[in-house]
Amino acid sequence: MKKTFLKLGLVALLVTNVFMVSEAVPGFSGVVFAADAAKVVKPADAQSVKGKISNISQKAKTIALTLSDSSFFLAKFTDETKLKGVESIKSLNVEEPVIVGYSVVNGENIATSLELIHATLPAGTKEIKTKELAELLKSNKDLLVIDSRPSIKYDESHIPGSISVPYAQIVKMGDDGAKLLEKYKDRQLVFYCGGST
Amino acid sequence: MSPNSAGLAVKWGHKNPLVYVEGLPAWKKSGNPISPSIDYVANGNIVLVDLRSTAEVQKGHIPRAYSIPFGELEDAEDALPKSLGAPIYVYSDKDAEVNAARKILAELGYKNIVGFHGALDAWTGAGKPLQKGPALTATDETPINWQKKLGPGEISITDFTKSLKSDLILVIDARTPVEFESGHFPGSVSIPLEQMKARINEIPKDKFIVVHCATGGRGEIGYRMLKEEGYSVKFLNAECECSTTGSFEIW
Repeated sequence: MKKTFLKLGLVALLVTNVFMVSEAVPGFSGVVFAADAAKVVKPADAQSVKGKISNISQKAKTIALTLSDSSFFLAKFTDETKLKGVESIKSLNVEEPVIVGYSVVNGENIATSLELIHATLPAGTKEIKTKELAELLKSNKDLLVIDSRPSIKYDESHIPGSISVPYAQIVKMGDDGAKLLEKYKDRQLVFYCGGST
Repeated sequence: MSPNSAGLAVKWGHKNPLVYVEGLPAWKKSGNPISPSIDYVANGNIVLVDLRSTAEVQKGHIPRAYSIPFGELEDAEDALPKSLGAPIYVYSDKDAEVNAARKILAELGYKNIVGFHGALDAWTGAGKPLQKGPALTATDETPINWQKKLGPGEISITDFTKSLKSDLILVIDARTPVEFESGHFPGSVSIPLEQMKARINEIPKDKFIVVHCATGGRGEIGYRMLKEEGYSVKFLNAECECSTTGSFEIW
């Protein structure tokens, strides 16, 4: 009896170790995992969803999205899935925004269409291409490159000479966010992030 | 993120802000230089490699750097971190060496390589001292040890290995049946990711679940799917290989 109890205790300890200690490890909160606090999504009546790709498995023919409310959406794609704005599923990347049209078959979401959303620029702004930017960086001293990604991404790697002003941070500050940029009024600003987000 | 930021800049009176829509991935792809933050080089969970000659390294190097002279890099495969996801930052006083080292490491399969141009100037410029004498070295017998920090839902390799032996934990192999047949973890159960939803009734609610695949990709999707269904679940975000004899390797 005592032995059994001891054995159970040990197993319980292992389980607690595996599931509690790991939980206590402060994880980095990459975008890929942002949907972790996901709510249950029941898209029974909706016919399409818009979100960022969090994962694609070619082998399981499954695409996972993180939606704007950080919930999680899963769909299978088939050879019949219509692609828009992208050549093949293989050329899609994690974090790219897409619209997935789907139907529910036997409780599973089957993607009928998949569209890669290309960023639309707000009025008063203009796009700059890689080559142009590389050249301007050398010649134009007024240029100030601003990294809009979370600061951890900036710390890992960024365009040399750029400064970090995370989009999330200016949004949080509301109109006070203007203060973060005010001192650069006379500079030519260039904003960038992780591409098409 | 960047178009919206630029939109706000317009609203706040900045003239004609530009948006580099293609962003950092395109910047890197065209071979343009990138740099890390100095504090991240000092404290981040990275592997820093000094490519200069041993003599140069002796005169002064960034304290946590490993010394692998450029000429030896190609033969140093076994001394490099086992995990191909390890972020490797290389620096030298010669830009050409940094670029060539990036290519070599990419060919070895590393996915997260940063060529840190102007590293020594950036380091001293930030008021940080260089260290004189020999730097850290790595050999085939004592390779560079890099451990990934666990993200939400991830189980460590050590805990994963333990869970294979526990009756209270069910390890699900989310790979295809063919992959499973060619070798799997002893004690694991095959439920391919594409069948997981349909076979949900086979997964007991009273056990802890751990999902794995070959790399972590399908494992993560399975983890999320089961989490939504109310399971206590984790996944292995690592690469692994199993033989038919039951032996395995995880890195």
